[in-house]
Amino acid sequence: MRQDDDIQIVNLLFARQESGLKKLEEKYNKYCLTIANRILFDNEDSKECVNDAWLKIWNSIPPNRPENLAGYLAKIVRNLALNCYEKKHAAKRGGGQVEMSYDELSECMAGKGRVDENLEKNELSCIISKFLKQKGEQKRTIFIQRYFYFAEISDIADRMGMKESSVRSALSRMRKELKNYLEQEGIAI
Amino acid sequence: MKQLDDEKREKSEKIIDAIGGLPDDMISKANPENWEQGVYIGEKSGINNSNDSYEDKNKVVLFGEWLLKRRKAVAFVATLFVCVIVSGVWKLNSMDSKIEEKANDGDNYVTEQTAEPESTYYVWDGKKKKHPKKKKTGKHKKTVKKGNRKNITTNKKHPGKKDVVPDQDEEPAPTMKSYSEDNDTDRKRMGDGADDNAQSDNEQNSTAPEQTQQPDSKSDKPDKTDTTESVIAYKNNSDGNRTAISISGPESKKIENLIDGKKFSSDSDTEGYDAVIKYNGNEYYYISNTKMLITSGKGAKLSDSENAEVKKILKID
Repeated sequence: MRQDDDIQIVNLLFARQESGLKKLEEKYNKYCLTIANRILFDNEDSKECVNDAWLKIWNSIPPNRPENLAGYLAKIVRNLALNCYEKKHAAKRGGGQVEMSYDELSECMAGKGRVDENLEKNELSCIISKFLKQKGEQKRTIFIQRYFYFAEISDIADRMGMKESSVRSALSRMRKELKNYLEQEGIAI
Repeated sequence: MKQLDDEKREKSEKIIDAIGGLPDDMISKANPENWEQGVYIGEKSGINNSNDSYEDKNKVVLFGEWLLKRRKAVAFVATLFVCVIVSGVWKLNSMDSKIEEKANDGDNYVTEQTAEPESTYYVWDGKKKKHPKKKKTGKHKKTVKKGNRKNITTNKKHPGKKDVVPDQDEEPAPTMKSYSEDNDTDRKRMGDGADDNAQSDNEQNSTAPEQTQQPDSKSDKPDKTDTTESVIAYKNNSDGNRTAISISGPESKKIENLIDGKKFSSDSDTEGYDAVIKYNGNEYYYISNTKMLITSGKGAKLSDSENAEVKKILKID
């Protein structure tokens, strides 16, 4: 059912019909708002970010034809929200789940120098994706919920039926393992 | 320091960006809304495919904004609430201390009780009562103001009425004897117990005019509350029955002086006694024929005049 809806929406967007955008908004508005709000924690900014996402979808389909529309949308909204967050918090940083995630992930990169400018984002994404595929579904889900959706640890614990301390320790172990994995793959700077 | 922070930031941004490039399926499946109690419940379709907690968070945000706007009022109300609580606690404490002060000041109202109440024992045999009930024993400890001390005896037939015995002139309070001593004298006086019942039956029939206080079936068992301040005598009639005689005023004084002035030294037997005088916690057996007063097996001889006086007071022919 979901797949049929998504395929229909993508087809409508491919045909440049605005009804496709309406259906997309009708189905995924709250979903996108949730993702944006987790990062921005501001209703107005989140709505603005989601509106930008509709425009970006409209412009990107075609030529892109996403197989998983929800994931595709999530990535667009997240990137827009992160950009918005960077603009808003450029002067003053601190607090919030995003900042906490930044702090936590800073330990994953070894070395003291600056990040290699030539390091491709896609290359790093592939390595992280391989790493996550090696892990069990539960650990993978916890990691993505924390560092993609920026969910709170208590929220993750509730949804995953775990204790907060278990979630924390699982994330800590995964960060260390990711660091070692990146070193093995030659991403240590 | 700042450079180090920037480097860290740059690294973590790189990883965050890279995580943003993870496969769509992986991201879609990990959506927190698709998980419940650690189980993947699948994506919701249509308008419900959303995070319900968004509304909750919206409420939290709204409440936060409202709190920020009204922070002064909220602070004022919180301060007021704390003040009310503090004043309430202070008031309760002051009330407690007042009650304690009242309790400590009121010497006339507070009596010091012994750990083992006296009323839990029978006076005549010193044994502990099986079912002590304060109301039935009639031995409530009463507090009387020092200046208003009166001798109050309870009328046993009419417990509501009380006979007030005139004050004893500066008489020191009798010292309490131990139960064992009391019991010895009680047993001697009481005899084998069979007489008691017979006596009580006869007493009900007797109508002696000199009896100011009608003894009940247990009249031969002296009541300590009745005898602490006065002299009480029990006349032994010729038929073997006993009659209580209340002695008061000058007669009581005479008996007291008489007993106080005697030295009880000779060994004597109480057999054939005419009366028992209870004074100062002791019992004195009076034998008119031999003119003897006997207590605890020791006797004192009375002179003729003293004997006549005693006979007159005790109304012994």
